[in-house]
Amino acid sequence: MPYPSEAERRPVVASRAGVVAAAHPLAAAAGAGVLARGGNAFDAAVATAAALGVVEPFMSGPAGFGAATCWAAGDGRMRSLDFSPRAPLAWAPGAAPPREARHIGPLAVAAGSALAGWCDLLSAHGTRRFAEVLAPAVTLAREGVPLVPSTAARINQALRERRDLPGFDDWAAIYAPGGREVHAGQVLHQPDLADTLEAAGEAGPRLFATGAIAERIATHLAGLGGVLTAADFAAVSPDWQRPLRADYRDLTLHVPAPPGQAFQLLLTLRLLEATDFAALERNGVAHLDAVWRAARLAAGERIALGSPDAEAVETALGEENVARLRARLADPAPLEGPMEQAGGPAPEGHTTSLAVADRAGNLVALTQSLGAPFGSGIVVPGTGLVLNNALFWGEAATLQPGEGVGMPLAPTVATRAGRGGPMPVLALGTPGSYGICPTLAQTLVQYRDFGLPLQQAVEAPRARLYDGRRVVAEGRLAPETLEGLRAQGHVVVEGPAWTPLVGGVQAVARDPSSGIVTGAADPRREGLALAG
Amino acid sequence: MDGRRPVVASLRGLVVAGHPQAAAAGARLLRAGGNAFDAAAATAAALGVVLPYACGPGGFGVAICHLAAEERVRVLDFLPRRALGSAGGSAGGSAARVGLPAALGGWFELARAHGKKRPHEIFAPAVALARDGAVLIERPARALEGLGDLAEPLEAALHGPATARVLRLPRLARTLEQFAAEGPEWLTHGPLGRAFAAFVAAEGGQVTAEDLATLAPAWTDPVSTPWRDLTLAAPPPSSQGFAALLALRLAGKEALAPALARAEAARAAAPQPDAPTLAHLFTEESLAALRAEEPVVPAAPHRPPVAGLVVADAEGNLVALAQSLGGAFGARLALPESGLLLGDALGWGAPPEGMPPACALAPLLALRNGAPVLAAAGTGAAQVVRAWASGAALPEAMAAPRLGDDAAEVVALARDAASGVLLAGVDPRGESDAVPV
Repeated sequence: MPYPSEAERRPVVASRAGVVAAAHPLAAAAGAGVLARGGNAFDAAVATAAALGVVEPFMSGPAGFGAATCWAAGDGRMRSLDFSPRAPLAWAPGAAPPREARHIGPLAVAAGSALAGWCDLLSAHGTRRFAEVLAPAVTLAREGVPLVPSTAARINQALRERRDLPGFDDWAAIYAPGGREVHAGQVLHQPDLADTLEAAGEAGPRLFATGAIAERIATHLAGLGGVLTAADFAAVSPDWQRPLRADYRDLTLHVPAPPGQAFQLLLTLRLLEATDFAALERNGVAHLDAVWRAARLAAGERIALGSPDAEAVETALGEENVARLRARLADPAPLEGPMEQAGGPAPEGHTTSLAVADRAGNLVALTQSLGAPFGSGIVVPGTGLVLNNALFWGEAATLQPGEGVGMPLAPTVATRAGRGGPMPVLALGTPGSYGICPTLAQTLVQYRDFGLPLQQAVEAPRARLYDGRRVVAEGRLAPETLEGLRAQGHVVVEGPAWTPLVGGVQAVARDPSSGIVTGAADPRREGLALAG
Repeated sequence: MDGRRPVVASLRGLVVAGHPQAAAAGARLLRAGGNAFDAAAATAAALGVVLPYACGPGGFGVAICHLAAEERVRVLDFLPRRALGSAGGSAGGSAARVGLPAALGGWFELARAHGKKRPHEIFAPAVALARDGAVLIERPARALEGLGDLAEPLEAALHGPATARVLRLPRLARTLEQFAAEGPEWLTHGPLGRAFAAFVAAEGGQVTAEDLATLAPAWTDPVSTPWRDLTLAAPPPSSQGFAALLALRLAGKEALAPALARAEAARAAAPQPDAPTLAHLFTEESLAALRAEEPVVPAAPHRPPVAGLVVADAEGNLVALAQSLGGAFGARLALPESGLLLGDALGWGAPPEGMPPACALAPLLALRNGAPVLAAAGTGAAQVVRAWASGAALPEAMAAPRLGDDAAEVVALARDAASGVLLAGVDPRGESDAVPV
């Protein structure tokens, strides 16, 4: 079937009992089930996150990493949980292998922190036991997950790419038995992962640091020539942060602080605050030119700053720097600059995001990843665990042992000012590598400036910006608009009508006066919003 | 992906229904250990709250079910029936059109006969939606604009901002709760039935104690026919489901439109065939004669709003159910104090003297080698069955263009007999949604 030019119609998923939006229906169902049983948004977020690691094992998993931003209604505060990867304790910056050697294999692996992140999110604000919220994921792993066309295609792509790589047999034993292509309707069984998740429900993140599973991971990695040890897993400690914040129109947006790189989103919106979108045609040349240029300018700042500390980020978001960049934004001269990290493009087709709202007013946005499809490609036999390739994302020359690896993950929660203080109104996030921040900026402009309902804002055509002046735009944008953007200096490539290159935004919005929450799920992935 | 709705597949259970919050109600029963019958009853009751113009406890419906334990198909008939004293035609004002409130008992019986859960558990999600408020979305919200003077007797109240209105039906919540506690006798031999009879009498109609006492859903056998490598099953008359099966048989590999027209002509000629007549209708001789007739495209029939659902559980039980009030807000009469809207039994046309009203509600099942492989409900279900049986994956079969009323929604699910994988069929035309467990 050809790509539909319009998204297929979806009902608005709205409820007073909470909503989960996730990139796979069975993961959303895991979270919705927890909400329906009286769990809160944190319980549901962890249930959904763990289930995502089972139903989309190429995107994320317990040995991956991530970040969350959340509004905790009970104490009326916004927090971020950084569970991004850290360099191994035995990391030798001078002797670090080149980046291409860190794409796959043992030298790509950082100690997985997703399990610890889930556990901390739950123990700080959840109401259920860890084992209870992991139960749906355990069931999915043990009883099996029916593959659908998109998930079968992801596995088959990995099968083609990994066939000649070390560890292929371990990988194929789970995902492509016999090394044969899989097909939609086939059931993926992950009994080892079920056992691991079940053990994790009791042991928590210690599971990776001590005991039989920790032993298996360390032995397997050592055998492959890795430098990671049980000490690295023992050192994993997610960090509760005060999120970075910036105002955009009547919203205040909150994102994780460094080592995360989400300040790029805040900077993009700070630059766009001066643009009067009301005077512009939606999806017209002037609208898109402004957003693309702001996104490129903000990415340039991120790359120039390297691994900035809090102070450097504050300066970057400060009036002086913003004024300088807004002047460049207003300058019609073509804009050229990097979007990716130094050293070539990052892998696509990994990472996943979820958003949850509950009856009590809690909001959670969580983004988690393996760093590449199936991460480093290393599956630890007998555990069902896929190890990440987080170190591919680090700047090898400057990364110190134990230091956080800067990641573009940007789970975002917005508040609006109310009489009794800030009111949480929106939680969203997306995968998409260095396209994450541009994707969220594009979505927020559609939602806030052009007033689209949340689902339509998520569906609105987007673009992925690359180094130089290159932009891949979804083909639903008018050809004359793309031509007009070329005249502004963008090197525009017309992509398919829909492409997952521009991310997969999962979002929830909350109406503070009625308590009604609405979910929005991205049709670029198998996104589904479900009421609790 | 790629602009399409997600492909929803599950091994543990699946609900597809005409409204997301109703599908969620059924999923709640499945997660709590209920089976497809529990979930279907809960979803049907919730549909009566969230789509009150299309269906409700005072309305009608029919379910076709595959019972895994008995490896057979049964039909639960709670289709429109009129009081014995009703005039033969439609004269006598809206009271004469009122059907006996059949849906409440139908939902109850579905779970009682084959479910695992207690009545209060079945009705709890619908009660919660009616009491706390269902969020109105798009088409349902527009339809509710027609509530008008019914809002007062229903105590219907709309809250919230214009973009997300909440409908509360507190009287209906109390009625559902009490019905769950008291059981069908509360209607057939108790105060609810007496209130109904008194109300209809005051409006100029007549309902006797016998009408109420015999108001019970009936388990029947389906009409079935072999078709390709499948057996198709539909509810028997007074459902008009046989016409859908006839159209599929008539079409063969040829275009469906003339077959639908010929089947409709045969249905109009004998809308309530008895068993021998039905059996004859599907003989090769009869089919050949029908194929020889010039197809006459029938006038678009009056189509009351319909709400449908399909449910499957991990044990292999499947339920497809369609229900209606016989018109938007039924007969536009609210039974005082109860929050019940009364159904229009003549919404599909007046029957001949002595016959129950014919009714277009026709959920379908398809079986292969005795195992259920497809369930569908809603106008156009036969066309989905055909597209799917012709090799389209269910999501594609749902999205394919259909003849007739393009706004009519279908809900469907497919089951792979070997693996037990359930696949949702959501209609991109409407507000239906799939909830897996």
